[in-house]
Amino acid sequence: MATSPEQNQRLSALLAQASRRDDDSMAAFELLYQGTSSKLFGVALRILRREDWAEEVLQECYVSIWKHCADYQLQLSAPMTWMTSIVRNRCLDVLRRPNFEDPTDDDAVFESFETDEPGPLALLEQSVEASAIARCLGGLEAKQQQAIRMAFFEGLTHVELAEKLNQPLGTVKTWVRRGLMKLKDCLGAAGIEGQ
Amino acid sequence: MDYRNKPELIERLAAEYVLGTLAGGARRRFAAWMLQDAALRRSVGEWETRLTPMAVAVGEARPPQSLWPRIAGAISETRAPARAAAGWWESLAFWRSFGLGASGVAAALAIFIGVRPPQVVEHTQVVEHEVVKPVRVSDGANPWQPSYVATLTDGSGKTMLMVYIGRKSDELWMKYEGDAMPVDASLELWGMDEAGQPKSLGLITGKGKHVMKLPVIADKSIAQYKALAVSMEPPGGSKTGVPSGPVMFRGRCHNFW
Repeated sequence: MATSPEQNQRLSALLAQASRRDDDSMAAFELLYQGTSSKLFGVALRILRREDWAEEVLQECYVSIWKHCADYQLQLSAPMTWMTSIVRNRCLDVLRRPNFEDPTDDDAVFESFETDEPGPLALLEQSVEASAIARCLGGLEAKQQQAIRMAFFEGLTHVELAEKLNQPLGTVKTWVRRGLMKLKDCLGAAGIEGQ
Repeated sequence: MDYRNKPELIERLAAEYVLGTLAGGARRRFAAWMLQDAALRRSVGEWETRLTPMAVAVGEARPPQSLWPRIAGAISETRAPARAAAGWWESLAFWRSFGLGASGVAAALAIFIGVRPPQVVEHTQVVEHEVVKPVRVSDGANPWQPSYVATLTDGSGKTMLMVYIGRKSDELWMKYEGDAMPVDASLELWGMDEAGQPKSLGLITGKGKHVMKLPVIADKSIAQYKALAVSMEPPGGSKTGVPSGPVMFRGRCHNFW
């Protein structure tokens, strides 16, 4: 996740303090929660579109983050990237559990939660990483871009993408695959080489 | 399919795992493979760094005030001190033989089970690649002698979990062979009875060796299980009392007395 170097440093320090499991750990973890939960709740709500599920996922994920904050030191990714990935993965699991009922298509559910913060484009320009991915996404063919955005933000599988876009499965898979590889090249050229 | 030594395929699968389009059985296999493959985890980490900044575009949403107290409560429940492993655990020759060639020993055990009825065996040997390695088998007097043994493997046949239980013991000793634990999920161990009905035995709490407490001694609990399995569950374990996530590893439960 794109955050400023200062924010990353602060979040890393809070994770390190929490992992020491001393008297100050819980206070540090609460500060971490205060600083990140609105962002992560937004991500969960965007994918799940159900407030109760998003709350459940967030609770599980923060407990996992607490348990694994000592492991974080071994990760090379920025703290917000690490935590966001945990939340996204958990959301995808929830979406794909067998007894999943399709959430209502009522966007108001999550729109009502969103703040009046700057729009997506402005947000994407907030940091080097985010502006790089925004630019690289913009450089993809429209259909590749649409497929990747829908998969990322709505948690759709290839099959669901094919249905929504009314295209053969193979076509959609090719869009996604080629789009991802172009993104990788573009981000590499922008100096973002993964880790 | 064996994905190893196919860097382009690894790259594509890692990208689609992070994007979320890798679904169903492929996602499960990939997740299982990630637990034991550092190169794969690195590739996934790289894709997370590339793609996750997209999430900045999602507006923030303030969770309800009641959420933090719930999280803090759940965390305080997890803070009970972990049980330390006993010293003999480290020196047990039984484990070393498994550690040196787990799949070879597992195969040998399976063959051994096939050729001799376990009930009549008191002392025997496990043959690994023609090398005879003595393993003491319980006569039932010492609860710490190996009595119930299971080797759980993943889809590719790689040993992921060793389980060992003394017959009069209520402690289940296990060794998790994966070199990583899932952060966003729990691994739950199940006993499967003859009818295939699962019963939860507990959660795998980390890498390496662990002790798990059984509700009653093994002769009264483990004896009924024909196989053990590990499924990937929501953090904290299945909410439904039966496996709700994919089965990651499984293996027969052998009875050595």
